[in-house]
Amino acid sequence: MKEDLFNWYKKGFDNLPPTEPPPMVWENIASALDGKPKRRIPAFWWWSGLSILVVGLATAVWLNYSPTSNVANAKPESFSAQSKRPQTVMKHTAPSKQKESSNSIQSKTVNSDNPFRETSPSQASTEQVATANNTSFSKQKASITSHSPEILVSTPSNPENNLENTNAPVNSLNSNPLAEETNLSITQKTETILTHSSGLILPKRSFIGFELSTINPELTTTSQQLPELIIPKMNNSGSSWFFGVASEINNNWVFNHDLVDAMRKESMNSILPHFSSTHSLVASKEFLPNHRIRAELILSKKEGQHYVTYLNGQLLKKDLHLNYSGATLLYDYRNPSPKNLFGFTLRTHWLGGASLCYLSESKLAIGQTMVSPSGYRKMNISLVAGMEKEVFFTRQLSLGAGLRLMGGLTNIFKGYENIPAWFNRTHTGNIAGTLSVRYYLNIPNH
Amino acid sequence: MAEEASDKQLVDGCVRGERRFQELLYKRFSPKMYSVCLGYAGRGNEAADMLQDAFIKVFRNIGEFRFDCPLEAWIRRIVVNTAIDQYRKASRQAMPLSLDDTLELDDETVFSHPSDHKYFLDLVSALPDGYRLIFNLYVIEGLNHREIAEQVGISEGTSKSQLARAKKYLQQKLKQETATNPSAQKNEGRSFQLV
Repeated sequence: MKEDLFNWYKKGFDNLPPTEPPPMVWENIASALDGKPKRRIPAFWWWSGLSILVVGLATAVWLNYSPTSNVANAKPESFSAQSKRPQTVMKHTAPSKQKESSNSIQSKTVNSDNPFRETSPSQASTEQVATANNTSFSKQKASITSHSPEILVSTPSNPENNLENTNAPVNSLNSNPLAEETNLSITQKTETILTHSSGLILPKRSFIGFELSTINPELTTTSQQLPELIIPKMNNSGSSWFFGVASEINNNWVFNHDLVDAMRKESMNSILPHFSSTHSLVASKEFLPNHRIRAELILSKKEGQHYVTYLNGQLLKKDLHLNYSGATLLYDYRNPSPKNLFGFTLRTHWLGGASLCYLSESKLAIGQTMVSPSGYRKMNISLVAGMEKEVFFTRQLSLGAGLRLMGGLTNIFKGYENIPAWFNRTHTGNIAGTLSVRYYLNIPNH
Repeated sequence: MAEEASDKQLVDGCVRGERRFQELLYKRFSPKMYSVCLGYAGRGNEAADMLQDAFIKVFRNIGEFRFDCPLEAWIRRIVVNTAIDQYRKASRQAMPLSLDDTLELDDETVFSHPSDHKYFLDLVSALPDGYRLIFNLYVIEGLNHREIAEQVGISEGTSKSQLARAKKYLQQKLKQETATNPSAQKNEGRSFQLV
């Protein structure tokens, strides 16, 4: 019997026998009619709350971190040390008179200028008077070159306790860019106390291990008030370039109707974020002090979302993966006041800009089936805002860590033949933790 | 006896919010409506979800039923509207099916098929959601393309093309099924022409 496809289909449909639905359908209906649906907090709100909490806590920690010193507010500290033997003290100190007990070293600076000023080479004449255990100390003037803060040096005049040349360490400091080695040898011979501030004299190297190793053990038992760690500001006339690599851990969302639907308590959909990593090459140019332009070449950036739908006791899962590459251009404002983080310079950056990305691949996993949806636009423009902390381990090498918020401006859903783009506006968005390593081509103005 | 209540009594009881009338109405119409849902949803779990949503709407709006049509038709209309809603919701993430690789079919080819309902439902399930909805609205509900376009929220041209694609897809599936299961050709001795 020949029959038309439509008729065949209609007959098949109409001939479908009545079928008893699953019993839980009525239970669900009765529950809904009672107005007592199971209270369910959509996953979206869980994740949003968690993200906001994490971001809030992280921001609070960053912003309220109380450093031990701030260059801008650095205040001179006195220093005293008790020792049974004559001591030589190299101390980075402030221009104030310091008087201590008879066993202490007394120092004073002649130069009353702020030795930590950022501009102009500092020339400090220091005069040190130190007495300890009947040992007289010579007065010595030290001329400090630029890029070095003032140094107070006191050396014993007693030949027995003296070094080969008491001027040597000062000269070395002035002339040798790797002065810390010289300084160290002197320290060992003369039992020089190098407090952790002494390391800051040396601009080219990190110093914290060096400092600790040169403290006379005998002195560690004595009462001493260590000066605050003071980071010298360098006179840097040129603008700085840096290059580096950056990685982000993204917490991705795709803002669309499904996400809105998932916010409803009675929704049977759950939306979960898609975690991914982003890797970029970074370059930055300072065009004004503390104002920079930063460009990031995004090698790989993944957006997406997980969908879980609960239907009749079964979970149906769907994963959307969108892989992008592109570039980000950021305005980078650096907080002019550096801080101290365990002896390292800590700078805060505020970032704002935009990102232009190209969709290189789109995948949709429905259960075990993977398909390539074609309904997504190739270009995606996002706004970016963030904050970053940068720690300098050396003068030119730094590590940055921060948080970013990114929101897509473009409706990435271009639609299908039967679903216009406007019907399901879709925007990307994510919260990202960033980590970057940078190398400055020229010495930045820390 | 409540079990023998007329549609009027059922509706009145449901309007009063009496649970036993609600349950009775559900038991009376849910098997037929579940079959409709299976025809629209294609998969059992989606059909159950559709049925649940539809009956919640029925009970919440039953006060608006004016007895100007049979109660069953009114409920069926709500079920179909729910199917449309679910399609619109699901289609936000749906993908168009590429027909580039579809077989070139000879519309005059005559196929035979088994007449059991499972085969039919499997075939319905194999239809992509969009195709199935348009096909059902056109073939089963008897709507024209303008009405389909209005209800589904698509253009009239899209409705036409979807129907054509659905038809082609159905033909392809039938041909594949027949090719992979030759016994199906002999079963029942029924045949139809794909036109």
